[in-house]
Amino acid sequence: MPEVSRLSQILPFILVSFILMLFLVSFIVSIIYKYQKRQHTYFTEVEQLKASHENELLKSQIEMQEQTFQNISREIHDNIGQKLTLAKLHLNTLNFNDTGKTESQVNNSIDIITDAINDLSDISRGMNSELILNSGLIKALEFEVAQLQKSGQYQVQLVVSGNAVFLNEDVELVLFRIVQEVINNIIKHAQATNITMQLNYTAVSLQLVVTDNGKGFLQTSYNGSGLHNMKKRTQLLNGTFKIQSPAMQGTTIIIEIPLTENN
Amino acid sequence: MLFHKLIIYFGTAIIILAFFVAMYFRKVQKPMYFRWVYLYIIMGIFLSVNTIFFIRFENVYAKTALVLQQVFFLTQFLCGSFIFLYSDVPIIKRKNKIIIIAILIFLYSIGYVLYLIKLAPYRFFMILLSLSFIVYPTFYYKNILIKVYRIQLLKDSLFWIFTGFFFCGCLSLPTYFPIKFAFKSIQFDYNNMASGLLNISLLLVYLFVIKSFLCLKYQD
Repeated sequence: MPEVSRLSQILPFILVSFILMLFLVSFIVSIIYKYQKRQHTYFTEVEQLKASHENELLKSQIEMQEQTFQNISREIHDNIGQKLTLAKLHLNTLNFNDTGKTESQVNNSIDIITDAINDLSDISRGMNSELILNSGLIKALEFEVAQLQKSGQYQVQLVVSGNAVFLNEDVELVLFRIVQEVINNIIKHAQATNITMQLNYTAVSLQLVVTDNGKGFLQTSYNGSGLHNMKKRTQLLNGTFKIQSPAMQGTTIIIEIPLTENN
Repeated sequence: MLFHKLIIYFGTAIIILAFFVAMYFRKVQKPMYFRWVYLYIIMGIFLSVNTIFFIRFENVYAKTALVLQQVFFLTQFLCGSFIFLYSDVPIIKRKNKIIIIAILIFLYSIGYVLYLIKLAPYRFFMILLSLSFIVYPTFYYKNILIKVYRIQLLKDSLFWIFTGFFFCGCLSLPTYFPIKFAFKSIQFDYNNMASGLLNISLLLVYLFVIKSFLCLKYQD
């Protein structure tokens, strides 16, 4: 009898505890299941975003490469080709009976060919990403400034403030190509005489400012792909791209990228 | 009664095990709330010793045991509140956490005063303790289901601590309600069942606390 009584005491207790525990365990399992399902969705989305970002980056790199080819082609056609044609013309019209004139023509040809070789070397260095990958963004910009100053048409300044840090190589290359595009635009359209480039490093971001004193432009009337590409490339670096261009007061382009994500 | 005693001794063993596990991980870098987990374990040891003394010397120790039990429960409630306060549950601001804790402490105090002046039964303020152990984890669960993506839930210390609290709260809460009338028709000792369930709920917290310490192995 006492055995049966003890069992009847314990049984309801075990039953109630079991039901309660079962309910609680199911509740916790459902929370874990829901959380993991949400986490899985989140990571799938992140993966998709990453893949799309990589695609964009690749597309952007192909565009930059295409643009580089165009620049090389234009430089060869407009500049080096012209110089070499002129040198050929000089050499073709050599008159060996007139030694004085011949000497002058040969010397001219040598100067022109030397110029062409220098131009080729500059183009090669300007297009070569090794310079940026090895020396960093600041050195590459210093080279660009020196090139512009050599032309004698522009007063160019490069100002670096804050503690400069090396960014990811790809990021520095994209930034450098953007600056090259900006400079090309200034040369082609701005009619400027003064160009200032500023690199402002802060703890969290890098601000790149390019200012010229050219004629400026109306952003609403501009429909080329150059600006759009620059904006897109900046967005790829999770940065912001701003243009200030009041009429006849020059243009300022401000690019700001976060350092934490690109460092 | 034997079954009841068995649960108490087994629970004491689990708390002592939790203490040793906590000591083993004492030098591992831990989130701030773990200092309250340590206090929670120490209070658990006192509570166990107090209960063992009570079942051994029931006649002479009953009054003291009851007072000490209230003190230990109150300290455990405060530990739970501080764990909640220092935990990373961003869906609720720190200011709001303090308000929630303050409200619970206020209600707890009222319950205790009412009990002291014999206007409310003992269980009245114990209900608040159980409620707090349901409220805090509920916010945590809501948080992980709304805001958090990156943690591995099964390797997260906080998840196991709050799950322990949640089990404790949910299992102990019914024992304070006068549901014994439902069992009147069948002959069985409701009080024994209630205290057994309460002890199991406390024991479970410490099992989950041990798991939370073991999760420290996976932290970055």
